[in-house]
Amino acid sequence: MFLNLFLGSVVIDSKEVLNAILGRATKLDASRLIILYEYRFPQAIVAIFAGAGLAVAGLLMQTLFRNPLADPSILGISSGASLGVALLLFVAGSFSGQAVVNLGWISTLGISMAAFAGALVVLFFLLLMSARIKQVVTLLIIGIMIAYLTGSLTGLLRFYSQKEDIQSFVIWGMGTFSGVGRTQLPYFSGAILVGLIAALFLSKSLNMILLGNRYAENLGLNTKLHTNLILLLSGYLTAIITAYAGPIAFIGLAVPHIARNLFKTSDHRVLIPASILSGAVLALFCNLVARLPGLEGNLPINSITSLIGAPFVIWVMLRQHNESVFES
Amino acid sequence: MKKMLELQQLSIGYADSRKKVKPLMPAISVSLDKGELVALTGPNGAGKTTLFRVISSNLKPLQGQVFIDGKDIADLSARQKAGLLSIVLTDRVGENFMKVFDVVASGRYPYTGLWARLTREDKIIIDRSLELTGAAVLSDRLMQSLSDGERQKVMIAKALAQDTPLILLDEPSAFLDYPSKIALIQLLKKLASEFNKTILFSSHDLDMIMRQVDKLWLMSPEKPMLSGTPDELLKNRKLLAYFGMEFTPHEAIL
Repeated sequence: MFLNLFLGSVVIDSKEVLNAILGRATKLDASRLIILYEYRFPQAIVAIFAGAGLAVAGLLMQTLFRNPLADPSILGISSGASLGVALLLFVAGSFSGQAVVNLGWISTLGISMAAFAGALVVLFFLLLMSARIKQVVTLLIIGIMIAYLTGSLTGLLRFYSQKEDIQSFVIWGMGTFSGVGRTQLPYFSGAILVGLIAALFLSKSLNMILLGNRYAENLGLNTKLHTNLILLLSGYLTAIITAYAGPIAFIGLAVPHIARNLFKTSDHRVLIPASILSGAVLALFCNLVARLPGLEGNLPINSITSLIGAPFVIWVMLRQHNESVFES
Repeated sequence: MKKMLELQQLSIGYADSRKKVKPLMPAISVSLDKGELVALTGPNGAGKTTLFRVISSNLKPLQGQVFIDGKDIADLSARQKAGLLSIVLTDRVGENFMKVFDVVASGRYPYTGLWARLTREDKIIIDRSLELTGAAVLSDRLMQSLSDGERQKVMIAKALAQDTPLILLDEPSAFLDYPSKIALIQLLKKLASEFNKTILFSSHDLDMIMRQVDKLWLMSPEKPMLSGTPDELLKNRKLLAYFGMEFTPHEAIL
């Protein structure tokens, strides 16, 4: 967390950063203070909440589908967000004859709104479907199909969009933790926090669902209702985070595995807080790497999460494997 | 004797794609007394699992009613049913890092609050369930490290922890080796006779269960269900006739 404030392409003396945070007199000039308050601080907060939110959203999906490869994007919710953005860029571009990026601040907010709307449409569709089908696997397949469908539509729209807009779409798709300005920061954090707390309240239901739907039902759980609640919650977290930070890959897939392996449990009363913690730490670390001193500007978060996360998950899995071989 | 499970004019089956309803067999009317150990047997596809799904309200009956402890299950909430009936399925339970104790503890879920915190009484019940099934030594193990026989013990312990008068087991002996099968039947028998549990289980191991159960329910596709004590069914070769066997297999096994 602190390193995230200290490090960046503009060098700021660490003692002065501490002074500034603690409200003491600081020798920093105005531009450095702005970098600190307007950029680094919000970025670190966004990384924490986005990382935690994605990790929990991923955990919910892995439990609901009892599939270790499930992640927040598996049901097409983030591709729905992408489609929303592509649609906005295309429609705005072709009607005004002007690239959306040239509209200034409206474009950033517009892209977030479009992504959120796109994600919600997919989520709503999934909930409708879930009411009609009995098997949760069917839902998974429908979700994956939606992801393909929206993906190809997005591709088509991009093909017909303005050059500058394609550029901005690509940048959005790379993911960033700097897309939330200071004014929107409290709303973003608050919305994610609500989702995380709601997830904690689902711990017991998630534990039951992990036994299998019929056992859950036999233990008195309304599985239909809770399937929908889990979908809704995971979709809600994914939609908000994707809207602001772009489709960030990997954290949602990897962190639940890291949490399970580190804490050696499948109990969601432990796993959810563990995922929140690990997700936040991993996201902060990725954010740090993405703008190490000496690098020009920010690297795309999406590349960094996988770059760091993949070897780490392999290491954690191998370690567990070795232990179990040793035990037997 | 008190009736623990009663099926009244129960018709089971599935609707096909054109919404045509096809009952698997003529309507069933049978009942189980408290403390009885009953085996449901019949060829694959006869509807044993379907019947279990209907009794455990995973599937709606086409017609008729299921009464557990005198109450129509259609009128009960999921929680109320959780206190009356527990199930043991063939599905493999055990995601990564799932502990045996936690699985058995999940049997207490219908009685615990939002955070599933276990009271001292809950813990006593869990320990006793583990003890009874001989799974106490497994308590700290991970589910994925268990053999099929051990796994079955754990799932039965979970059903016991749920503390229900009626227990349903879907082919509990299916994946077990011979000694484990015998141990399982003896465990079920003990639970029924000493702990007054009403137990209904499906099985293909007719030779092994014949002398142990109080009653047999025979099922065959499209035939009415036949219920009776092993002695009744053996007399006059009713059992053989039901399954359409012309010749007499080795009498010794029956």
